[in-house]
Amino acid sequence: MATIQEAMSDTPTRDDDQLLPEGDSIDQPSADTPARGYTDEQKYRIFNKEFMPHIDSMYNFAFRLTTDEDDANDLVQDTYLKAFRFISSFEQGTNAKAWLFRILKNSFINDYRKKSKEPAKVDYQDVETTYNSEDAEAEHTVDLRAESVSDLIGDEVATALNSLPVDFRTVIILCDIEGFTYEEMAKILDIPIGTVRSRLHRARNLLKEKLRDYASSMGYNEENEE
Amino acid sequence: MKEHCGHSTDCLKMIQLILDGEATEQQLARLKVNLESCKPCIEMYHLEKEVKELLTKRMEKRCCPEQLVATIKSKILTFS
Ligand SMILES: [Zn+2]
Repeated sequence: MATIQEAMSDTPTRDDDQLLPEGDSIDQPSADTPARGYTDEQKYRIFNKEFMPHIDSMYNFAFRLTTDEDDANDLVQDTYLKAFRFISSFEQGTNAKAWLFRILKNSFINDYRKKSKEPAKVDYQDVETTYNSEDAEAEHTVDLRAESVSDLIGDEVATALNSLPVDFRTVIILCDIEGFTYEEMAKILDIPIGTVRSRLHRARNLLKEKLRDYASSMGYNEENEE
Repeated sequence: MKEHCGHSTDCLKMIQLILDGEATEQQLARLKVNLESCKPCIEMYHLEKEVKELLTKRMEKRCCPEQLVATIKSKILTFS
């Protein structure tokens, strides 16, 4: 049984927003971001001690977003160079991993999604509108049994995950693979906690539908046993 | 034991909060009751747990290539 961390309220908490740069402030630091006068020595120390330890997670995130090794390389490099350039808007001792993930996510949206090899099947806004509409609340639970997915291997799960629209893929990666809290995800994605929760719920339903297709195409379904 | 769950969408949302470590004490207590009395809830709980574990444990974690680490470190040295 999972441990209870804390009671989550429905209202998005944006109180410690200053810990992370605003969406485009990473390209254009805003006036209200207190610029910290780090010396060069401090900058390199922060970079090496607080940023570099997350590089494997960052690479994994980049690879899961782009599904391409070369793009993942470029995205991680761009992100780390941006992080260094804007290091004065990072407050030492705060959540460096979330700060870096947010920069990577923004770089991906601004620079990579356009040229991504992935066909732009689903428009970002369309996805939000469709899946956040009231109608979506009337959805059913996916008819799938734990036993029928338990034999799936990592590659099959990865393929199912990759077939999801990128916004849904992202919340699953952040929550289930990287273990971010909903509050951290809200900051990384610039959305309220309520949206994190509902997007995650829908992402999982879509993923289960994909897994169900996989499970039945692999002959794991129990249709014949009935 | 209930064979049908009258509010499975809400139960599913609660189960996900609990598995994500984001639930309240109250939600956890409610799940405990459901897991003793509602068959669809038990099945949903096992499925959600299994799917989460597939993602957590079975997917390959890609590590950053050494070459990229070296490139980044050398590039930031030329900044000031
Ligand atoms: Zn139930």
